[in-house]
Amino acid sequence: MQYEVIIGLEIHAQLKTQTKMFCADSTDHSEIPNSRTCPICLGMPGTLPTINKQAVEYAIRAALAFNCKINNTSVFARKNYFYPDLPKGYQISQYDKPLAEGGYIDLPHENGSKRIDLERIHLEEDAGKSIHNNGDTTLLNYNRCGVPLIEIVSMPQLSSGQEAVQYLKKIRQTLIYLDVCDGNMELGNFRCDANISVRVAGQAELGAKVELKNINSFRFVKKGIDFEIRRQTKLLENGQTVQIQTRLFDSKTGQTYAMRNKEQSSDYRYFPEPDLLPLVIEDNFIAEIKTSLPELPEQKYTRFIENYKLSKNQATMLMENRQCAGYFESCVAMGADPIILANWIQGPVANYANVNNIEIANFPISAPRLAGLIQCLEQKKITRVSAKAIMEKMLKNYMTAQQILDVNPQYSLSGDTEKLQKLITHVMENSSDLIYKYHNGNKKVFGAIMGRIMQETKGQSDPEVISRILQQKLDD
Amino acid sequence: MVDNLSYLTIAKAVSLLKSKKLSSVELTGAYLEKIKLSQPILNSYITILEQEALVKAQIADEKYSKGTNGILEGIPLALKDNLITQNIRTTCASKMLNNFVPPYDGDTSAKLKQHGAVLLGKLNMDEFGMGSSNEHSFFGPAKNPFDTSRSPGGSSGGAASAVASSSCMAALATDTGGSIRQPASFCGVVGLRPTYGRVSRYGLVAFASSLDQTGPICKSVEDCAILLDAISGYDKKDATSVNIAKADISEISQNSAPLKIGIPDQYLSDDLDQEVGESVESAIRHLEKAGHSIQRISLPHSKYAIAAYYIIVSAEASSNLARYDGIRYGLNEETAENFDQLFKQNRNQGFGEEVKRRIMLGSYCLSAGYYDRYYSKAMKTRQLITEDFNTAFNSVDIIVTPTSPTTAFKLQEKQKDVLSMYLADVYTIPPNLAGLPSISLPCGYDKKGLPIGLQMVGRAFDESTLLSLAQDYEKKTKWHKKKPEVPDAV
Amino acid sequence: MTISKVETAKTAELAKLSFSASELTAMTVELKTILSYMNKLDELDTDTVSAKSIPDTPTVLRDDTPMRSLTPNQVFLNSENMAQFHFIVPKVIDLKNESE
Repeated sequence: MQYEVIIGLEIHAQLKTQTKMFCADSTDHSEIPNSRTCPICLGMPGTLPTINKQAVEYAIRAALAFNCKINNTSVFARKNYFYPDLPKGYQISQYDKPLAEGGYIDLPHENGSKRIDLERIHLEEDAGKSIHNNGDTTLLNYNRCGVPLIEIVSMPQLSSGQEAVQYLKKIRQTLIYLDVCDGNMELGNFRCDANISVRVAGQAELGAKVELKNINSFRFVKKGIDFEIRRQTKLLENGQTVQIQTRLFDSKTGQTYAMRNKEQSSDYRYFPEPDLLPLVIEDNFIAEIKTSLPELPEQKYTRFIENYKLSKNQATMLMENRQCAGYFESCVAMGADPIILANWIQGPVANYANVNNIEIANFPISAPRLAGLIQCLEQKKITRVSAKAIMEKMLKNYMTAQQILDVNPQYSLSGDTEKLQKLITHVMENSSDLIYKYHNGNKKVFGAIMGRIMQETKGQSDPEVISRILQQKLDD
Repeated sequence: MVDNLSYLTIAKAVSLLKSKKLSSVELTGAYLEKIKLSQPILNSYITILEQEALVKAQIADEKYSKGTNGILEGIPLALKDNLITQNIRTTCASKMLNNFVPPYDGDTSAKLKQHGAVLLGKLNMDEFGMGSSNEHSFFGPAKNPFDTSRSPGGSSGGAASAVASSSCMAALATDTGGSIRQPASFCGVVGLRPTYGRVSRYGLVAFASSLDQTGPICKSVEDCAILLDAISGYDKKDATSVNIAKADISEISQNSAPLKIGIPDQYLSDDLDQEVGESVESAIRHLEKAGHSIQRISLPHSKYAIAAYYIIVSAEASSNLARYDGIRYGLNEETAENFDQLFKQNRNQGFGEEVKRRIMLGSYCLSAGYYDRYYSKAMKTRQLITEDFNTAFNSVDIIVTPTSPTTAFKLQEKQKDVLSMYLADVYTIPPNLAGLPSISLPCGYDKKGLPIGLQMVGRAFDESTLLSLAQDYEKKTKWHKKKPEVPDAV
Repeated sequence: MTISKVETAKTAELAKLSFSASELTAMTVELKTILSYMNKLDELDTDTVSAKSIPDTPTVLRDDTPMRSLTPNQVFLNSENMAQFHFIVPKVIDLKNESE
């Protein structure tokens, strides 16, 4: 019996605005609970919401990036339900007339790409946070209450945990590129709920839809969805029915379990928010935002491969985030060869970034200086090894690669090596026994002579350079 | 001395204060005395601010000396208790907010402070604005100064009775379906309900967001104009407030130019009390004699107005009152095992019967399966009613009706029949559904000596014409001169 | 079509109000009376009525500039139920999020 899996995802992404969606409280993080609250987001009597311009812009950015149709008029609506983390007893969201509809993203697929259509994107506000005390109480912190969210709803076209993760990663990367969301699942500013159903292949009727909540990492998304698919399939195979319900993922057991006493179909009594007029956005406002859209991930990816002739691997790594890609391109603009640069960033720069726990884009050598180093490599003025040494020095001061090279000729492949020449000649004169052996066929002693020279130079010089000079001298 | 002082209007008082013939401390003191006498009988106030008022009065007198006085400097006013006043208890006449002290200010309260007004206290009302008799108050009913066995009207009953009995010089109240005009009519004073969006709703504890507006209740039309000017204006904290120039009140004391006045066919109903009908007819004839032309107009969808109104306000109220759960403020019984029980307990204890009834009605009208039949239908009906008015205003400038079908009814009279109270709002509801400005002013007294109110409705944002005609009528008649005899506490 | 006691109970749950059996009966009767009046609107044909006219001027939006929030004293001025700057409720058993 063949089964077909149908998955739809709902993403809630926090927008990186300075203030909340409907009031002017700061959205910055505070350790002190309820220190970023005001009468409006606390739901005090007589208070009214006002719409955050930046949130609207960010939402439009996202909608444009995902090829949605933007509605010039959209309507905020109240979603009414009671919960301690929801001060007004309703959430201001959008229902009948969302900000954007339609849209799609393309996922890489074995046969090229698979298009996942979007249903809609709309604006809403976040709720507060509950902390469950050990005792019989729950603690409430409303700092997060009112932070702007966009909800991105996909059509139910995903068919596996893996695909779901791919979809999530792509959406997330785009939002980060657009600089509208930090995309951190662990911190909760990028959340996802999944709707999963299974049916017999070819059956017209959809299977019972199960909603899966509380998944806070990509790994758990895959695990949770995969488990749920197995669970539902097994039930159907045994002739049992799948219940429509909401389930949570338990990261410890890797299983999903039903929420207790959940009102399976809450009646939210949506109606248009009477405290806000319909949101009217003019075409030229949208056009302005469109022209200021940064290049999107897939456009950049294509360009990196076509223009810079980078490998898929290199392109993917470099455009991990916009800042890293920007750094790369700044270096190229300063004259660095793209391929050598790409290798260099993937290598020594990435290592440094790892060890020091920083972003590649925050690597402490500026684009002009790094470009200079890469140019030295390209022009074969230095070897990879001496380049590493030079970079070490560059990390400690503001000198350019060339400047350091001038002061440290031992790093140079060509140019002034007089001192080194003299030193090597000196060592050779004192190693006549080894030289005699070398000339009589024992090439292995080259290493020993090298060793002596290295000792003399106290490891300061580039072995490649020494080796070349020594070889030259021996050949003479 | 006390009596003479307390019959001053704002306009007169300001000129006396400016010319130093009177001090604000004297004036405020006189009102505080009056409050002491009338409060036990009329129960107009929920909170009286004796100390604070005298302190503010003193500051006002200093400002007059220095010449830095605002337009309402030293004028003793009172606010309906659903208008937020910073650091001053604001209860909405509900047990739920019995001890609520807002750490923030409402726009109207802030503006009045800016203009230098003295706040005497917070006024009694129907709980959360829901009612037409001031009998649904946690603090007991307010009484009508013309007959203390009768209701002063509602929901701004406390405000109307306080102004009528001169327990404050004027009041700011709110009107959703008639809550300023009907009490004004029952108590023989003037009540203005501005165009929706004219005055900021920030600080007006929401009952029905698409209908609530703050407005003045005063002894004279001129005073209403002065207060309208003081409190109106675009407020960016209220997305529904309209960015439009304030109404021009500079020329309302000139004789009104001849206007076309419309009398709606549908408003001469069977339920209209005969004496009320006669008074209103008489007023209309008076207007005609004064040079205005009278014509009949039709507002064909009027009969659906009450149904549409109560569906809409209950729906909005059921949502607006969802925030009252006791966690961040408000009544908290604190003895529940889980939050579900806690919410239910606090809300059961905190809300009165009428409030619960409307929350239930509203939740039902919005619920799955009923939204289209009730809420959606009501909103469409509202559109039709608005269009009726738009059409009417193509041929007339002002529409005139009675304010209420009866004069003040006895307390308890309307408690048994849930619907009867709602049906009495027949004249005041329709203009509100259309967002139009309206005013009620005295046009006579019935045989029992109870005041009768005349309602005038104007075009949107045309309070100037409305006030002009109202003042014209007031000047040429003596109804507003009659004062109730509030028995002394002794 | 008229409201039943079951529906009244459901509505009460939605509104987080609770009634005793007799209160529920009384409320049902009251709502029945009011709703039968509201049903007047059934007479009216509103099929051709378009939604409220949308303003065609762009919405005025708020600048994204932070303003000072309330001080802790002000936040908790009206609530005694607080611990370490948190508001307190009895334990929430239907969890939206397992833990934060």
